Amino acid sequence: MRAPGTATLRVSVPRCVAVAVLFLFNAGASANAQATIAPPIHRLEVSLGVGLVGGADLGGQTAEERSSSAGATFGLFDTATELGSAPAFDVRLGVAITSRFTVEGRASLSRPELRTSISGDTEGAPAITAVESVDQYLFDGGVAVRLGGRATRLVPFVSAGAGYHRQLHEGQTLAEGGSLFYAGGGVTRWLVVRRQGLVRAAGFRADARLYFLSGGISPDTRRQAALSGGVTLVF
Amino acid sequence: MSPARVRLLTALLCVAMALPGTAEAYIHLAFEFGGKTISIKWPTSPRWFVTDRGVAGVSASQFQAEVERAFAVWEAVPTSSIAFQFAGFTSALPSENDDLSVFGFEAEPDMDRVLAATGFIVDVLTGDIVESDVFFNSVFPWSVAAAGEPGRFDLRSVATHEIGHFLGLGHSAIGETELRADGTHRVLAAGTVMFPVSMGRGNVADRTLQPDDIAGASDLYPDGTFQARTGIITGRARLASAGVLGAHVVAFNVRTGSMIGGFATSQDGTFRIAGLTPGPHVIRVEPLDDYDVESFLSSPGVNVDFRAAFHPRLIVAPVGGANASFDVIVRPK
Repeated sequence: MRAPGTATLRVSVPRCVAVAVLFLFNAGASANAQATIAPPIHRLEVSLGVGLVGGADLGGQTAEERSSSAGATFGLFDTATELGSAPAFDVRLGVAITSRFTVEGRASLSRPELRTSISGDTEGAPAITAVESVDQYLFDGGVAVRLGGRATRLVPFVSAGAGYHRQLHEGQTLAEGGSLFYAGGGVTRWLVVRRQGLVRAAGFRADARLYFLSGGISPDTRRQAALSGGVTLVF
Repeated sequence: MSPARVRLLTALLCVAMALPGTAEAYIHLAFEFGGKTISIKWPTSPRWFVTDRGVAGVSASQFQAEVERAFAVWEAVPTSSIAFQFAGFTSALPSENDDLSVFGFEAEPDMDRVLAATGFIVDVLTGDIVESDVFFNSVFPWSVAAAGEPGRFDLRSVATHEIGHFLGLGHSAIGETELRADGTHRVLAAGTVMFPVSMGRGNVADRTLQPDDIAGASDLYPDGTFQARTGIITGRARLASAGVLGAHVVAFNVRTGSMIGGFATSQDGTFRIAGLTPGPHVIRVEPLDDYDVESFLSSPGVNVDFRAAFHPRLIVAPVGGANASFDVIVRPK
């Protein structure tokens, strides 16, 4: 068995992250620390991650007037609106309540563009895409279920939960929100696991989620995929 | 009449619904007095009378019933507090200045392109409407049939339009026309009851208010929470460095598809559109070239020499307030 941390970090971790993990690990190190594979339960897990929140089609609308032909409509122009994909930053807190189940909460921030493509103007106004930037916050809580045995450093999991989302429009002129549900899964790669010390375990976590959001910038339920990867520490 | 409360009857405050081929999104009727622009409105729930004479095919009681239904459409606007009272039949005519607000038929053969018109007597110091009369031109064929009648103008539709004026609303420009060879316009479509040109004989579409009409009435006579629940978009229409007086600006809600309009009413091109459902809007600016400019704005120097354009940013109407003003740039034709 290798000494905890160093060998693994050398081969797979970006230098800056490795330094941070090592620093935290060493801060709580003790001479009699012993290596183990599974992180302890009933301890606080903290994850910091970056990723990508996918876009969503918010549908189209036609600027309609009533035609002078009875019962007919007249389209002045057409629009199609989408929420663009954007980088996201997230913070996750969790506690493993058993060796298999972890309750967790997460906050995510992204800044996608809301884009409305305008076309087909009957008076010849040039087609254009009107945009604004939106600060999107996702707050959720749920359960992650560990898959497979504990005697491995590579731990797949599935997760599901619910929460709240909030969008702040450009210039902070309007805040809107609604509810969300998510389901997803991922993998945690434990790099360092110790029985003692401030930091009991450190590793990387990557997960993918599919969010179902209702309310907020769109009255209809929309789906947004999200990918995230980052550092996980157990204290 | 008190000297301090001079009343004024002016052609500026006489608005008419025109026939297809002749004659602000919403705009409030206003006048200049003492260097100030004063919007007109009723200070209390108005009482209205009906002339006791009908015309061929429409009795006085049928006329009253149709006008009552048209009033009910405006009273039913949930975000507006306006209410009206039918006060009875009268022998007075709409053209008489008698402190009575009278609806009725009158024959005006010289006004061969005017279906109906609304006139006012207002207190020029406060803008309070003292009297408003609405005449329907009896030289045209009218219908009170439930589903309209081919070859006849639907009385309720035209009454709904005129009651918009009766409230203090001006003409809206959300509508499209095409120019005929003889120089007149044919209506293709309208997105508001307050478009100045009738939809035509047999058409009953103007019995139903559109978002622009509802916003205009609600902005003028808001219920207790309307202004706190809706938003305002303000900005300037510019052609190079100059403001575009008379630019017609439409705010299109990308979620609901509703269109509410306004006008650049000053030389610097400033516009203001109130009563918007909060959320992102597409902003479209166009010249007032679908109809006679004078039917919308009386200001000299209205610029119609530019092309329709969209603003490249979505503009968000906030809740209970206004956005930060922005400039919409248009290009010359």
